[in-house]
Amino acid sequence: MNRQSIRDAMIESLAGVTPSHPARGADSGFDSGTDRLELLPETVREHLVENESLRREWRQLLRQARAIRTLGRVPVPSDLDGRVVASLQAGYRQQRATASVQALPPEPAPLEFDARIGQVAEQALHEEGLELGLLEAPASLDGLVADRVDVERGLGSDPVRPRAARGRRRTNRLAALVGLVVVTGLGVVAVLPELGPARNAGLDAVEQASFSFKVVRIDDPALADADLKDLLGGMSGGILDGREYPQ
Amino acid sequence: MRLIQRISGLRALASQFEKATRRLWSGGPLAACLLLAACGAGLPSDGGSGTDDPPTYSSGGPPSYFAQGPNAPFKTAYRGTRLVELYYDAQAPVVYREDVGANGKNKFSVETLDVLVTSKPDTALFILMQDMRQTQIYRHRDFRIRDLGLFLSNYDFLVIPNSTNVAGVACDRVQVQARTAALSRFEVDIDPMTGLVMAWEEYDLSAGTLLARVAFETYTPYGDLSDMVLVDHVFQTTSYAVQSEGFEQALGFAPLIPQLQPGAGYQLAPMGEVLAVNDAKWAKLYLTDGMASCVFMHTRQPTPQVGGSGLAEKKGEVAVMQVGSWSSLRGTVNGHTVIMAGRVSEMNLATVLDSALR
Repeated sequence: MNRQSIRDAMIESLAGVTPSHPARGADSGFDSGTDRLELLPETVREHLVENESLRREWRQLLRQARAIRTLGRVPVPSDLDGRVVASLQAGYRQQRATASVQALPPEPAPLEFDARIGQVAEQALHEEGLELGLLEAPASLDGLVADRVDVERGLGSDPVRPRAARGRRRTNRLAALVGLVVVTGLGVVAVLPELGPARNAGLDAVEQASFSFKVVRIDDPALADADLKDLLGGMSGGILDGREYPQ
Repeated sequence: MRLIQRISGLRALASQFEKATRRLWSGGPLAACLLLAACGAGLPSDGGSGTDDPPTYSSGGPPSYFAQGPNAPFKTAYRGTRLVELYYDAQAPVVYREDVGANGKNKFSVETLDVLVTSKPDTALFILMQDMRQTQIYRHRDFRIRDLGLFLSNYDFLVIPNSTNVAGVACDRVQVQARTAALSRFEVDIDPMTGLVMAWEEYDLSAGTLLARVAFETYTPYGDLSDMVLVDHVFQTTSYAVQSEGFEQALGFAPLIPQLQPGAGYQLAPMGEVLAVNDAKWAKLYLTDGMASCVFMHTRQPTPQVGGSGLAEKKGEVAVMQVGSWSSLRGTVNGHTVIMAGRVSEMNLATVLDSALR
């Protein structure tokens, strides 16, 4: 029996240790001088009788065990069970969730998704451009792109059509601005372009007009802010609520 | 008896003048204001329904009850039910019935009873939402003369006295159309004793289709309101002159004042309101052409996005939405959170906001 096995046997024998020896009473202290050799197996006990260092080690273990036994019991947190189970199962849950998602059939993205991505990307580019000042495209790029598009559409290098396209764009923008304000003899009165039946076409003017802020159109009330819907819904008497709009 | 004969004669005349008036309306934006009584058949000012305060019709101006229009819904005590038909969104009409009442002292209630036509299945939610926004419905949805001077400046009208009966109330039929850039026309039945609009219809000018109809089905003057929860404002509201220092002091910031209007004939109402919403003070301004109204609300404190279902709001960006002839706008610009809505286009709302920021 080597020293390590003797030490292991001593530790295992500590299970019977109490805070103080019952025969000595509570006032006897932790280290009462009693070796409690009766706790040890016979073979181990013989080694301790012959070896003083082993007996010191045994007495030290006894003191430590008694000290530990005097500590108050700490209640187990009520959610410990759940945490243990969760930690044990977490990996499996993730695997199951991943497998479930992978098993789902493909779902086509709504059409508005493209538009939203475009808006977000555009906004990000705009903000980056404001910070870096590096994203301003040269003015000639519009023309180059228009020419290239026309070429790819089979319009060749017809010089008239690209110019017409660019001119129309500028005309719309100018019309939107000019249409905003008409000066009358009574003062400045706003007379705005009547969108009328061509309201959808007129929406281009909203985007092109030189406002001091950016305008984002919302077609699906589900995407609108609650205040936006409430005020419009209230003033109109609920016309927003007649249709089941796409979510 | 003589009066009845004269009114019967007027009805016949009215049908003749209706065609002529429509031709006149369609002939030019500066068509003269037509009042039937002005066409050589003016009713005597002492005639009428035999009450103590009968309406008067003059040859050169509007009936006397037009002046009651702005306050009639708030100064008339009544209880009734109304049928509301909204066809602005042609693919999604909304028809519902509502219980409405007012105590004649600025408090009122308008509660949706049942939904008769809708393509949206969750009518319970709709009724709940209608209940929450009843102050806006009562103040803004219906045809009403909101500013008599502006109304007379911006609208042509034709009065046919005592020509209709709505829920037991003898009404004058008033045909109304904006002088400039009109997209629709109105047929309005008004109780000449109170000035209260008992029914109104709106027709698309180009297609001739019905856009909306709201009419009392039952009406009881001074009806029992004991089972109604009467309201006047949702939030603590105080009125100030827009141009006064008190307005700015009450707000705690300089209000944005629109320099441009959302349409021809519109003007900024001289009185604005300060709304206390939680810890924020909101300025509420009204722009009107005498009948239609546009609301312009803003605050200096950004509204927190608590579980908001809307798109993430960016500074310097406004979201606009348009349904039928109605539009609304919301955004945060130059440190102001702004909400606008009205029977104008998105473009018009954005223009008004832009003019207030410059």
